[in-house]
Amino acid sequence: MTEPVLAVENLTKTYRESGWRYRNHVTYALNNISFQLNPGQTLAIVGESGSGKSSLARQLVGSDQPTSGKVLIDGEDVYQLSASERKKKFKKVRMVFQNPYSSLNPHSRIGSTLEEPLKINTSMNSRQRKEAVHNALQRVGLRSEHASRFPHMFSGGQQQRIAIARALILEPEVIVADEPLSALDVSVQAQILNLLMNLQEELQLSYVFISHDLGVVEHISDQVFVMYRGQLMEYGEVDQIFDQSMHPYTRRLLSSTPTYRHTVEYLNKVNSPEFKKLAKKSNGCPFASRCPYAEQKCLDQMPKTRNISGQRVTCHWPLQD
Amino acid sequence: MKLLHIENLSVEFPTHKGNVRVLDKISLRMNQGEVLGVVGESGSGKSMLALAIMGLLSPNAKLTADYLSLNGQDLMKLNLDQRRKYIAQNASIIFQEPQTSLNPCFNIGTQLIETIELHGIRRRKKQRQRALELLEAVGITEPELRLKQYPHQLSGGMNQRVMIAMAIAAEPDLLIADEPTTALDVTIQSQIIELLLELNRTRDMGLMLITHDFALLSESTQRVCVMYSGQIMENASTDNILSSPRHPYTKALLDSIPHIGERHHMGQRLYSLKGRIPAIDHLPVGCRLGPRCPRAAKECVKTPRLDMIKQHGLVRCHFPIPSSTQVEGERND
Repeated sequence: MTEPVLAVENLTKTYRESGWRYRNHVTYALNNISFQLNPGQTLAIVGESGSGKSSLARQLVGSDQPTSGKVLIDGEDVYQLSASERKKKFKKVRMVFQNPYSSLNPHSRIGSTLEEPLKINTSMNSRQRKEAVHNALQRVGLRSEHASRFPHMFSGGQQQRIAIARALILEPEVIVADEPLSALDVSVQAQILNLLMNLQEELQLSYVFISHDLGVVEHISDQVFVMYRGQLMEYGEVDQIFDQSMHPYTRRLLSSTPTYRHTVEYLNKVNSPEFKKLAKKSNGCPFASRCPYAEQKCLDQMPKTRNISGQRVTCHWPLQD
Repeated sequence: MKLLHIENLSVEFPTHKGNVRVLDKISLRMNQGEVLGVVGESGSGKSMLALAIMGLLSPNAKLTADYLSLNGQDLMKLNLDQRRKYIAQNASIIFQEPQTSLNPCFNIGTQLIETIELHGIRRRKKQRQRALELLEAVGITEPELRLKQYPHQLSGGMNQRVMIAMAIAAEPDLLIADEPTTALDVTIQSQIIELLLELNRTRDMGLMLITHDFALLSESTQRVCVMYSGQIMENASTDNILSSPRHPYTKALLDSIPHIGERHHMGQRLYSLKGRIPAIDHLPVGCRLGPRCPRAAKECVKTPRLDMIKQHGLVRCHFPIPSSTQVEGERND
């Protein structure tokens, strides 16, 4: 079996609320998250806003330290390593952000933006760096003379290409893309999506692809990870999630996407206000207040993640039909 | 009587390089209670069209039209003040981001009641009653409490509902929704669209849904109007557009969206148009899609007209794509 390039085990991230009154309140941004990403594969992370998708991305690229749990790159737990070793490890995991314009420095030319990671992380001389910048630009479908221009001279799609070039320049194995398409137009989205898929084939990259667009997710991913309020809801192969989702939340997401509405059945029952209030205070399933199948047990007890024929589901009553 | 009837509407802005025409001879008709979808990339003039209809263009914009009527009244014949009053009573608009459309300094009640007062209810008690009615109509729970709350205390979906409540306060016949769901989560998105469609059915209110999401249009609209660079490229019924788009641009847009069942391991790439939408002051000669179009030929340097194609609708192209049934016939040969 191939070794996963990136794996996460029981990752938990908590934030403490500020102020004396709330000193005992702890918010779980991520709660016990585990997954594995094999080389050349794409893992999509799906969920509504506030479900902890971006928090997860930050832990993966090392821009934030988890409260507990492990991040394994090439099978090694990065937080057991020394700081300099860890930095080397994180060279293999790079990130592409949602809004390309705000993630590029408006003051510096594209060339120097792309050069910077090389200056920090490698011992290349300036000629080698130029060469690397040139290659990266070509790879994403831009020309080398673009290196002397500023970010505002490019369209949104080109800016996103530059952001991808910056992620590629250290020759990583994994790219974490946080909603890379949502700031772009439909026709440009298709261009960038094709670029990402071509690069994956050429360079055997793995992607962690964060998105809320289920059409795109189905198109690009091998595995899908559905989150809600920092919890794993469902995790499985793309076919499993889209054809036989077992979690009510996944069905909810699918049934609210126009193209899928006719293929997925979802009970449209609304819980009574009393039940909702109880659910908000309870320590049970975070989705209980919105779940049409919720019962008392869901309020009392947080469901365990079960493994049903390779598909992981966190629910007391997984739907099987 | 048509709810909305536009003939050759153009909007120009003066710049230091001369006038720039952002909307070019738009003609549109909408029936009472119809749901019309307007699609296009950003920069295609969708929002400009909405603003032009609502009379919300900035003062330096120059609007010309052969005919622009709302509910049977020719707006071009009214003076500015009359036009403003007339539009306010007959049409409303909701925008993309509810958080930025609402004033953060005032609570929901104050803002909602301000609108209600403008539409002629004077008594304090009645205003409040009406506000509660409206909030209930848009499906907001605990309306009493919401009136006292401020926009930041409500979620995005809830704020959008408040915006819709304000928009229907005057019982308009036309509601323009300019990308009403882009800033919202998927699950909330479907709720807001449901709400808009329900209002359309129960109040017989015409709905113009401006969006870039074809999937959304497929379920909710009867007709779709595809815009590109300030022109209408195709205007036909939703079924026709989705089953056999005749304009290359419409087809490209549809093909660039991933469809159900087309998964990655099939190795399939999405179709995408080369390049990007031209800047409005550097338009190509002739057909505006020309340089990006896969079907472009010599003749495309002449500007195509918006022509009627039988059993389909209006298409602006010299070489429209043959309808899908014909294509299959060709393949059999």
